[in-house]
Amino acid sequence: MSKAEFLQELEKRLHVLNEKERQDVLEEYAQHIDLKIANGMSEEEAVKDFGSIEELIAELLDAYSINAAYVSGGSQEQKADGDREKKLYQNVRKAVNETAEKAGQAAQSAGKAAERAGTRLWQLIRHFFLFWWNLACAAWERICRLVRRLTGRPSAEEAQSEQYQQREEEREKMREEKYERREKRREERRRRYEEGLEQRRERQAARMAGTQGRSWLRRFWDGCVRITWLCAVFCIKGALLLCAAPFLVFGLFSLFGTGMVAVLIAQGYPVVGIGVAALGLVLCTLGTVGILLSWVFTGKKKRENKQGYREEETK
Amino acid sequence: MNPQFKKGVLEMVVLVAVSRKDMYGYELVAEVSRVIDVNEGTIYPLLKRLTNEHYFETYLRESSEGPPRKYYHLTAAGVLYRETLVGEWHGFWKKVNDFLEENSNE
Repeated sequence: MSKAEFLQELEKRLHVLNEKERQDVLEEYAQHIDLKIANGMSEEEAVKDFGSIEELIAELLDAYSINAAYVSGGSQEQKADGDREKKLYQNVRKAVNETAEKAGQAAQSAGKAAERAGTRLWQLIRHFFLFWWNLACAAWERICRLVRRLTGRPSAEEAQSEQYQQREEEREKMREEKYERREKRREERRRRYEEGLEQRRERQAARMAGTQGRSWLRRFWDGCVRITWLCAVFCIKGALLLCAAPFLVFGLFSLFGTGMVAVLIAQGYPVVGIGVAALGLVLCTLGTVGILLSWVFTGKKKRENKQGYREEETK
Repeated sequence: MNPQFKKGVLEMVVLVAVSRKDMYGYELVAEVSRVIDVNEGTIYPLLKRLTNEHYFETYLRESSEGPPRKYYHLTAAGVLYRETLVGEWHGFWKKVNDFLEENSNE
């Protein structure tokens, strides 16, 4: 017997144990066989060393306090008893099944017959009812016709059709009137729109002419003002420059004087006071010239700044 | 040897073997086979029974040579049981031996 066969047989015979225990036993034996094979034995020899499998199983079941005879199926007599019981049970089951089947078929046929009978009855009742109803309706109609003929009144259908025609004619008339009114209104609107358009065009043309004239005037006036302003600025700046010139000359002379005094001081002459005064003059004149020149050239810088600001605002 | 003799002492031999050190199944079979020659297959049912009766407890230990092995360890109840069996054995052996000596002299 090979290892697989041995383990398979063991598993089959230990079916009464729970899964965990059974697997535990099988793993132990499998490991034992593997260790024996690792030591040089063959599978068959390793399995043979376990001895009789029947005894093994009996001892294993005994370890779990399970009667091996009960698990294996018992003795021959018990087996025969079991077979008889099984057969009896099968016969009884078969008989019960057949009886139940026949009863089911009978019930099914009875049900179908009842259904047919019920359908037939319903059809009879329906026909009976419809027959009398139609008869009653026909009789009533005849009576109504007779009465109308005797009294001279038109029938409901006739009356209905005349009224219906009248109503239709009125409706048609109203529809036509509505349509005419709508058309008139549309015409009116179109005429007014065209008139309004014409007027708007005229007004626009007049406005444009006026605007153009005004812009020309404005431009002329702006030009004049600008020229005047430029002339004034030119005159003022020219005057400032003229004022600055003598100061500049005086400053230059002061500078020359300061240089001379410095030389005298260097040579040891006591002219320090004069030297300081001369230096002060130089600085004053230069400062005055600087102020005057800044008045002359500031306007350009302001204009450049203004232009820069305007460009930033437009962005 | 008479199988009934072997059957009688097997349980005690297994308990004594495991009391020295924890062993796994194959090792225990080899150890017991040194003392008495038994079917290897009968050791496992015995181990199962002794485990179910709480004389042994088992644990798995990793092995470098293959899958983890299940080791058997003697519990306190197992120790007591072993002591009882060994004591009974000594008493039994002495009585039987004495009886045999008496009868062999005659």
